[in-house]
Amino acid sequence: MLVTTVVIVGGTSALFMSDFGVTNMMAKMSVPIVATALLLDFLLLPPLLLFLEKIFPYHRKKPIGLSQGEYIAHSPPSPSTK
Amino acid sequence: MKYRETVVKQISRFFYHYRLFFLLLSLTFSIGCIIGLKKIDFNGDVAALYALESDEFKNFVAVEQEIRDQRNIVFILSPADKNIFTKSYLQVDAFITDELEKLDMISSVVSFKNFQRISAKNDEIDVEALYDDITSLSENQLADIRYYMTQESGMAGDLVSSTGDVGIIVAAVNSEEYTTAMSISEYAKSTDRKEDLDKIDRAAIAAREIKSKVKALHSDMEIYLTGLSVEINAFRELSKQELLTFGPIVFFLSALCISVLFRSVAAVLAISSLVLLSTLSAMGIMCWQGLSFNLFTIAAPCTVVVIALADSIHLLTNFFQHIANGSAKDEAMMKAIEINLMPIFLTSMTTIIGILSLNYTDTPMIVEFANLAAAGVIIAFVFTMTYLPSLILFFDFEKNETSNKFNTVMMKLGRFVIDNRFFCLSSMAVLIVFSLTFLHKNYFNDSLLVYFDDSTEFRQAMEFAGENMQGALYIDYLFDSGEENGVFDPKFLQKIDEFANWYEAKPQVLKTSSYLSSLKEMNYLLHGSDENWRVIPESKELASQYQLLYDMAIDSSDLPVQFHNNDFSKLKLHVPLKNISSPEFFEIYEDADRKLKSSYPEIYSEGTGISVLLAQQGALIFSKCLESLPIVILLITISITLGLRSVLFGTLSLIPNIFPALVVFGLWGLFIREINQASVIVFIVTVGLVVDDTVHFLTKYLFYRQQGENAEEAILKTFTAAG
Repeated sequence: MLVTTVVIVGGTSALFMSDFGVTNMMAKMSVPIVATALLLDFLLLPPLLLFLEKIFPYHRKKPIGLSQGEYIAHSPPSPSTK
Repeated sequence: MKYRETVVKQISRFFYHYRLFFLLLSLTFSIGCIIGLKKIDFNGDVAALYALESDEFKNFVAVEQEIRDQRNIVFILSPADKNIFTKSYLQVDAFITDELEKLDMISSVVSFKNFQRISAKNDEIDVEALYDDITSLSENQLADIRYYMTQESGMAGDLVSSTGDVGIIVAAVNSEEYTTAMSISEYAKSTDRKEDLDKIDRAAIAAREIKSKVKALHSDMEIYLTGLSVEINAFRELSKQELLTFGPIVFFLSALCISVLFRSVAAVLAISSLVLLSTLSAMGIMCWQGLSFNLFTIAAPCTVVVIALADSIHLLTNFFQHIANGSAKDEAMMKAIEINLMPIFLTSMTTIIGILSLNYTDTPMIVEFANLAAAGVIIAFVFTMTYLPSLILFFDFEKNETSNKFNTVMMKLGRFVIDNRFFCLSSMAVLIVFSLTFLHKNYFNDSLLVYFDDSTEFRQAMEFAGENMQGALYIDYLFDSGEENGVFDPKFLQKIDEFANWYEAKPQVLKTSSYLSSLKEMNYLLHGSDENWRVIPESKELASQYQLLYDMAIDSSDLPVQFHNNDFSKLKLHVPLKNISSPEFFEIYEDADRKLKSSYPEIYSEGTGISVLLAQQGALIFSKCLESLPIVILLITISITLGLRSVLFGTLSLIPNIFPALVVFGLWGLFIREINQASVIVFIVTVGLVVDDTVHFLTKYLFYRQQGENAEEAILKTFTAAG
């Protein structure tokens, strides 16, 4: 997500230089919106998930489209919990 | 059901095993589409901006078809000595007139050189040129011309400024299709219209060349070009320049960012080529359909670039994570496809939902933008799943530490958020509430000026014109007398005159133009040039005779601006305004509408013109987008709910999906305030776009929860896997 946002923001920032209203507006609006989206996904969504878990405890279900058991073998190591 | 039997797995395997076939298929498809780019064309026709079937547009076309309104080219000239009544200026005026008259697409030119000075003696009209020979003009003769043009002729504000420091030359570009009645869709798409636009374009280019020639000889003279022909050409040229300049810049900047972040030649090549092929293919499809690039569609390639970047980066980031964890490249790619197929499909679908909702606006340019961008999103998705894996597997990769370093950083960020959850939650809540309080401060400003930067020649010309002579903003009225020759009826004329005077009393309004001024001038001349007689003729017969005499003196049929129709039953009033914002414009427009309804209901006519359409269109698009927004959000939420198989998480996704755009619009209301059609469209498109991050985050979070991780561990792992 971070990499995608950096590339999108970096690429579309060029449009700030545009003399044309539509293109310029695209940069002025989309760059902060994409950056804010990342901010909210990193700083708002996780706390919300944690609070939500307290109200509606998660029950395991069969996932759609994601591997059971295989993906975890290649995922990053478990973090050390406090 | 075992994992290997899942549909996603099967699709992933299918893509993987037939990757060479898909690589060739993708390339063939792209080449086929890209060939269409040889038909690439640009269209600056502002009429294509409007909803074809709207009443406002029909009214605009009706006025154009009734009274031939030529596509003018206007030269606005301001000499350094602030005096246009000099030999030097008259020579420039004559030079430009001669050059314009040489052009086959110009039907008539109104300038000092061509101006007919009308005088009357004993009920006889005498017409003579304003001057015979410029070189022999004495100071007294120049002073006489000045007096006549600024005081007597009624041309002050039209051909010359009242202070005599700015002069105008108006050239009419031949246009034919408006004289024939045709349906609205025929009007917009007719071949004649395209040919007409080409003619307009050539005329505007020729006018620029003339301007350059004059500028070379008189560098101290300010010369501006305006008029609808120049406007259409400016939009066309700018569309072309934007696409050909900023398309490559965005592409190379993105490639630079990718090379810095991935530090892999293969990644740069694969992503860049995918982005390029997706974008060019979408553009090629548009060209094959015979569509031209316009004000809005030039933004579509950049949208496709963004989507294609997002799709391909998600896949490759995951691929490199697996490589860093020691997987072989084939295994890593297969797993990357498996993990990303559903989220990328879901995000592509939500983006398409957002973009295609713009079809609801019924505006040709915006609909074309939406369809082009949606085609690009589909192509980007298919290429990400087929072309990208095929290409990347031609390269060899070694386990590197970059991904692990990145994972460590993301892990620390995740830990920070978990440890400071109350702070993060409350600070984000404060940001959201704070920004939302300024949402209402945004207002619409959709005048033509806002589409051009201050630095552009066209914007400077429009601003100068608005401050000095003929504004970029105007309102046209077509008053119907209800009978043939009805425009000579003094009662009818009196009402229009009163209405014009009411308008001119407003500080935002420049001098109105209508047929009244020539009638008043004839009345004045035939009453011994007595200023008391610069009024509307007292009888219908007299007005009719004046018109006959005027037509005998001056052939008005080819004049750049016409004010009555052929059978003299309808009369046009042209109200130019200074450069004001859309809300001010609307206020005046609605005020005038109320005035007409209350004081002159028998001649009521709805105001129209490009400026009115643009202002109305902005409001219309805003309301249409507001109407479609709940449906878009609902469809996106349903898609995410189905994709995640959780109503709870689907509903939760609403928050990070909607608030980014609302926060930015709120802060926009605090710092900038002005919004236009483009900003509303960006809002809708980004609602579909930002879903991307949320979907990837929630998909991975749910995956880890299903693996048995507790909430905190799942979030930490999500930060590294999706972050």
